[in-house]
Amino acid sequence: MRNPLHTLDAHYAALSNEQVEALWRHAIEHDRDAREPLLRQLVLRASLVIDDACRREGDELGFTTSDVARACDETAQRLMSRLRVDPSVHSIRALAHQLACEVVRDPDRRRSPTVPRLSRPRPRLRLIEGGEAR
Amino acid sequence: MSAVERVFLEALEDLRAGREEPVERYLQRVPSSEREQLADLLASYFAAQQGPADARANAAVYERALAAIDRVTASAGPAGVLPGMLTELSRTRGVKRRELLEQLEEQLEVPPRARPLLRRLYHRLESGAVPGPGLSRRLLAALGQTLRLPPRELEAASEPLGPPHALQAAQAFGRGGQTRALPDATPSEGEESPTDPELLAVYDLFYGGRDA
Repeated sequence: MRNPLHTLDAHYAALSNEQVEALWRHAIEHDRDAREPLLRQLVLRASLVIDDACRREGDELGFTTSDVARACDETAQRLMSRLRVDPSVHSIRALAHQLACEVVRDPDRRRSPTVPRLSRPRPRLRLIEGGEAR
Repeated sequence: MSAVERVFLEALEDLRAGREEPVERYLQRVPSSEREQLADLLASYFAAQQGPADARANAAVYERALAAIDRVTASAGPAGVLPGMLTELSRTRGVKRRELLEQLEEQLEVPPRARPLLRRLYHRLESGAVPGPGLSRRLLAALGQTLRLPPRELEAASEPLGPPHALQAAQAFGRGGQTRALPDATPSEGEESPTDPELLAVYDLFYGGRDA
């Protein structure tokens, strides 16, 4: 684990949500070098909510796997960006869900080109009179 | 039934009917003193809606989120995480650099002869070679419009960062942290300030400071 950010990810992973959020609120005001690892931790903790919301919303709109993955990545970024400036967020999970819905439903969002799916030809079966089953 | 319970039930009805509104709209319907309680209820509901805990699926989601975050934060420097953010947001939104630059040229009304300079300086910004404090609010607002981010978030992302470090709980609940002086917006090597007024106007978008 050579990346110092990953070392800090592991350090903060041992703390409760309340502890991480208290540290994050403090870091926003006083220590931005400490703020970034805390933002990472908060977004990582919200990753399941983001994935779930993007997948569910995206399925309804016919997103491809690639579209969903890009929407998840964008939501993670937007959440991190908002948490960098706004310590008044009450529920990070709720915000993550809201941002995921906004990202997926963005009317200007570009989608992967759809590839036409060709169905397999139906097998042509003939009934042979007098044949015996083997 | 309290206001929190009533709004929470309305939110559940909306969710079930597929007509949910942004979470903040529900929060606005209760007194500010009760918003945290409602937010916790909604968060618990969303958390409970997640699929069964599949350790492998969770690990895959975590790994992907980690990779996305790493792409933005790993190369933080004199322009903070902004360079990584610009690259990553362009990728996730499917905006090519050429398109982004064309939108910047239009929004900032850059004359044709100054466009090569804008492109060069933008490339330097994406490469992490432009100090964050030198970026003008006009440029950040134009980037925000293209990438759908509030300018204040881009401004915060562009703050220079040093090596990351851990914050101890005692610091959060007791002593204040240290504040660090911002580096100035002095151009790094390789970019001379032009004398031509049209080129200088573009140069100042990147090196002139917030009010340029």
